[in-house]
Amino acid sequence: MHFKIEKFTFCFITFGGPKTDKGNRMFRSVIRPSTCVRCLLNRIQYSSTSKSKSEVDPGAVFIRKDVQDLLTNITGFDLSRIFRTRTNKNLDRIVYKYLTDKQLKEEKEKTVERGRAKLQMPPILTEAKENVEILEKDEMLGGFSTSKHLFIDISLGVPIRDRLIVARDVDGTLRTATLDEKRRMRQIYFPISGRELVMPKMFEEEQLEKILERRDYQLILDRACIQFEPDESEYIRVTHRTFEHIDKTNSYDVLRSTRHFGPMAFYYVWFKKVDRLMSDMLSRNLINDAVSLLQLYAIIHPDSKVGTYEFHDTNPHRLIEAFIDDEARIPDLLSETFRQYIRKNQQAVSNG
Amino acid sequence: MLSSRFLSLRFHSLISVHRACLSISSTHHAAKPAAPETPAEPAAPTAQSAQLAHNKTKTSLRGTPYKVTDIETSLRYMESDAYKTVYGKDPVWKNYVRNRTNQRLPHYTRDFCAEEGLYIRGNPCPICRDEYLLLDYRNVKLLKQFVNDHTGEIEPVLKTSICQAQLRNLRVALRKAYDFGLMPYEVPFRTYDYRDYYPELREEKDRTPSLLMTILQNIQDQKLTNLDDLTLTDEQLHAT
Repeated sequence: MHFKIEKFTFCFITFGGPKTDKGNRMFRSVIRPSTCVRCLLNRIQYSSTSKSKSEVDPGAVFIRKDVQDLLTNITGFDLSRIFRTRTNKNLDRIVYKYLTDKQLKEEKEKTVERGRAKLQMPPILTEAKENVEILEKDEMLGGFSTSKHLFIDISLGVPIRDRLIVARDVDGTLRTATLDEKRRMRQIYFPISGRELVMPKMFEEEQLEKILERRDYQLILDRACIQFEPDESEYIRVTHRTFEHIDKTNSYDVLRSTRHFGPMAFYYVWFKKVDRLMSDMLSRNLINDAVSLLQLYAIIHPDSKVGTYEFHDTNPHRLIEAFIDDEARIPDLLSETFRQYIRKNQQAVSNG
Repeated sequence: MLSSRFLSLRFHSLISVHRACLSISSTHHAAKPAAPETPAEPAAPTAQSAQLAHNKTKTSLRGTPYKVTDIETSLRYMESDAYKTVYGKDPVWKNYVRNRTNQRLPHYTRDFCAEEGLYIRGNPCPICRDEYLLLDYRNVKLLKQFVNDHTGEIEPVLKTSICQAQLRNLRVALRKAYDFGLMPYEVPFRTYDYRDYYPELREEKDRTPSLLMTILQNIQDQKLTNLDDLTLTDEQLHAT
């Protein structure tokens, strides 16, 4: 079946007609790359998996079912926080409905589902490494233009991150694009609303400090989710800096019942900075969350002493005491809060 | 309605009040109703001479200089007592009344209130009439007064009555404030498809090659030199 090529797929700029000499030459060199097309396809689609023995992939641990369940348990589910009043450009009139008990129950379940969707955690990935591959060197094409040309595949039905993006340099080399070129091309051809081509000034270090002083963590993290991909170095820098600041100021409660609490807890457990978070949970009487944190610790660091704990039958108090003895970095703070928690518990038991 | 009109007429004296509070000398302001400027009138004041004397004391802002201060003074002014006595807790545009020639106000305002440093009208807009108000990205307290709490959009000019030049300044300042993160706004929610980021979650049938790659593969397989000879089967075309 014949069809016209000019309609879709290519983003060629200088491709006039198949008979022009230069266009034919350029196209022929694309047809005959030194690496075959099938290998190129395979490499592009599966290039994200890179496992070396020295580095463990946090993404592989994050996506495990038990880790996801633990993180959702820790995050909490406060409906008033999830559905807080937001500004809305399309304001509607208030709607009043009469519902039977059964319909009311259905509406409540729908609300719970919508709330769960709002708590989807942004993915955690290792930082993407630049691997520019030279597909072909063609000195005959050197000097065909004063600037390099970037090409992107705009066929239907392919996820944005899998698309082929190549560059033809001025000296004629055909290579896959660098990370920055890929980011820009994706934003131009498949734009995400709310994302800027140039990084907003609020993510530069000085401005970031000013916003962190104001404790406006949700603005930074939400905007970072929109502006960057989860494997960009800027995203990792911004999120790690925010989590460090939250740790120093003990303001974990700001992010409870938001989508960012899970990745934050994962960050602390990954870098073994659990103590302040755990003491915060104890002071709020969230003993189950503290135990879930310990379970996370055991999954992420199976070599440590926490990996040997038995989580099924033991008393949570015993687990926390064991943790204070073994792996805590600030044992004094933890033991102090734990004592206060036990005192509060005993008072509550004796009172009523 | 009448009282608000009265308030706006009394505004000239209020400028001198806050100027005195900030202790900045002014060499030029024309509205000084307290100080007598005319020399002594002759002994018998007729109706006509009274009218002439009154005409001489009538002043207008038109022709007087308008020089906006820098950002530090403006930020200090927003926190000062002078600001509180003049505006209180209301937004800056609340007690301003536009002049109308018809019964209805047009939906647009004038282009600008000052040209080459001098006022060209007698009733400048709420921002141009006060030289210590500067629409800047750092001046978040002033910017918030022009943004609706419920919608997050800029208030319509029918309400705030600022001139078009200041409206442009406001838009630029708001964009910059959003960029620097000084002004909070509602960030849209981004839903992630985990299959894009974790390839282990994908199934076999999701891995269809794009149309471009099928074309390139076929060209390589069939060793074509001319694109017109390219043929693709139906299933290859409808694979995506």
